Amino acid sequence: MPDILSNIAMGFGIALTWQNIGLCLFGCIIGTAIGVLPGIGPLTTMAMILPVTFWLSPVGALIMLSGVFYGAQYGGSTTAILVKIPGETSSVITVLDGHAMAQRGRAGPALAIAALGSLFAGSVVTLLIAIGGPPLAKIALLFQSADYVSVMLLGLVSAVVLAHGSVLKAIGMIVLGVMLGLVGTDVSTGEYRLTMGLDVLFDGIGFVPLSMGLFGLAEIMVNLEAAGGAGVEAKTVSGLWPTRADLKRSFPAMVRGTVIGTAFGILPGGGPTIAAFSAYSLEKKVSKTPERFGKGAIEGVAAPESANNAAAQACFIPMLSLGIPPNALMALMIGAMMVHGITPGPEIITKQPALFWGLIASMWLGNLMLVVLNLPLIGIWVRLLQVPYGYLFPTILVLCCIGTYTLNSSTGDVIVMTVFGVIGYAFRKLDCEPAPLLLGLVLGPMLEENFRRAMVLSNGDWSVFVQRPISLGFLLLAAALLLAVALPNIRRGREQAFLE
Amino acid sequence: MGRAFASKDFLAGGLYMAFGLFGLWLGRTLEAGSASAMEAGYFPRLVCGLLIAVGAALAAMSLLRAGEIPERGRWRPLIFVTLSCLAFALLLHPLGLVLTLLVSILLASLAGGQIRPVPFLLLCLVLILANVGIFVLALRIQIALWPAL
Repeated sequence: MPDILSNIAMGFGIALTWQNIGLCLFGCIIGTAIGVLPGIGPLTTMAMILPVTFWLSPVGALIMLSGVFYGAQYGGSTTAILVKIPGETSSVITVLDGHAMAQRGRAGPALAIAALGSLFAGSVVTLLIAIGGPPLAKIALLFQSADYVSVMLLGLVSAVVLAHGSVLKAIGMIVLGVMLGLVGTDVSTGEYRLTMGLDVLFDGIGFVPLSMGLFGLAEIMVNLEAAGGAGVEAKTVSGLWPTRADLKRSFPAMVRGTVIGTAFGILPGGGPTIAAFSAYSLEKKVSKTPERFGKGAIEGVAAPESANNAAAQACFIPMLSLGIPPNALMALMIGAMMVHGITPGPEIITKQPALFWGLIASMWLGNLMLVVLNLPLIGIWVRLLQVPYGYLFPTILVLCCIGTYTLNSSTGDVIVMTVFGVIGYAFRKLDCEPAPLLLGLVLGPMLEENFRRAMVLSNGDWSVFVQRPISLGFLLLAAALLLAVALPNIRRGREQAFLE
Repeated sequence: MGRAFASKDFLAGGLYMAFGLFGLWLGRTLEAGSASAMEAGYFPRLVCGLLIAVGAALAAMSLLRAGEIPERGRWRPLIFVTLSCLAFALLLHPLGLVLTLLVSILLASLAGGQIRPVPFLLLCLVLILANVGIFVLALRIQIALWPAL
């Protein structure tokens, strides 16, 4: 215990220097701003400011970059709630209930709960990392490829469970996402796959152009159609603060979200997105009134927002301890560390304690800054809703184009985005929810890599996935989830058949 | 029966199958290898096969009961939003950022219906200034502002 206290104290000693406070604040503000602006994501921004960090100390660079990362989680949920465009995959699920709340004039409480949930999760996880970080990293070391495959399958299945509407359609969207994730260069053999010979696809279908097309552009098309070109009616917002009933409903959801977020954040291949999806589906399952979900249930905002923030911080553990990036953003962080001559791996916690603990302490500080910065400013975000759609949609469209372009300075990416805008429009027309597709896209390459490794290790024996207890546990959980959603559907299908 | 083939579920199933078949066709030259020594083509075939199976199941089940027909869309937003983005992609390098934005915003506004000149020009002015300010001046992204002469 004294060890932990002295470690935390050392961390704060580093995070609380003027320079690092300033860097943290700067990262948080930039992060929130780009999270709010539809069309530019944290990945773009982090990639763009990466060269700037070369002049900073290693810990300062990481503090600023992670500030952008979790600042964007805040900003991302703001746009998810207000304009139905998730700034990040991890806030995709917040759209469902967050935007529904905004449509009912309750954007204020939704934003406040999202911010408070994030602060709560951030504080708890910071403490958890300090106490359990080093031992937990040892547990994660026990995982083998087969276990990774199973945990990713569990994540994908939970995405199916939460998708409303047809289970088969959701499975199809996930599988399609995994397939799209395979486009590009095969990591093992270096062969180009499914690229149609187009240079722009050699590095794979980018997450940014795809999500901006599927969500940004398709949304604009559908909105314009629904409003007959006249624009969407601006919602009036009254009462920014959550009521006592809201808080009472949200608090247990925040706790559950934090627990799930931490668990999924620690698992490599997990991360904020699966965490948010899983927290939402759990919340829907444990709720006494699941029919409120998707129509503006505050738990549907509190749980995923706490979970994605918890996971965003917890996913630093595998990154720092194993050197495995659970997502593209962490991969970028690893890139930043290597530039500073730090090799990610098990030695970081022991050999670079100042870096590890300073970063952890700065996260807590950053979360506090974000709440202090954002809650008073919610009024300004809310005012975004008053902008007539006639002005808003060309702005979003132009930002989508520029944001996608700046990622790789590639006009080809803008064309990819446009193509997915049209595909996304078709999906809307056919009631296919695009969120599970994104999850498949992100997890696809990791799934394949681990699947191939597991099969090589087992000499082509498929039973490896049920022989390892960790893997078997995840698979059983996934099967149970699938069965749970499949059964009522079968029943409902039968009832309809009987009626006819 | 004609209606059943136009239901949302049937069309979605067809779309999945089309993607799966397209994937199989694109990856037709990739070596599959075996389960113990997978080549680049093994996993893609597995995934495409699964996608086709899911699509087929969805389409087959949709024929068993009458499903919803997709509502009729309007072409204007779809076409002009698409054109606006394509214009951005194709014009950026020859024309530079300022003129490209002008064309893109014009096409985007056409998606929304008739254009009122004064608000439109104001919108162009604000968006061009803001984008040049944020991306070119503040973030120092290398984009030409004007056509190269």
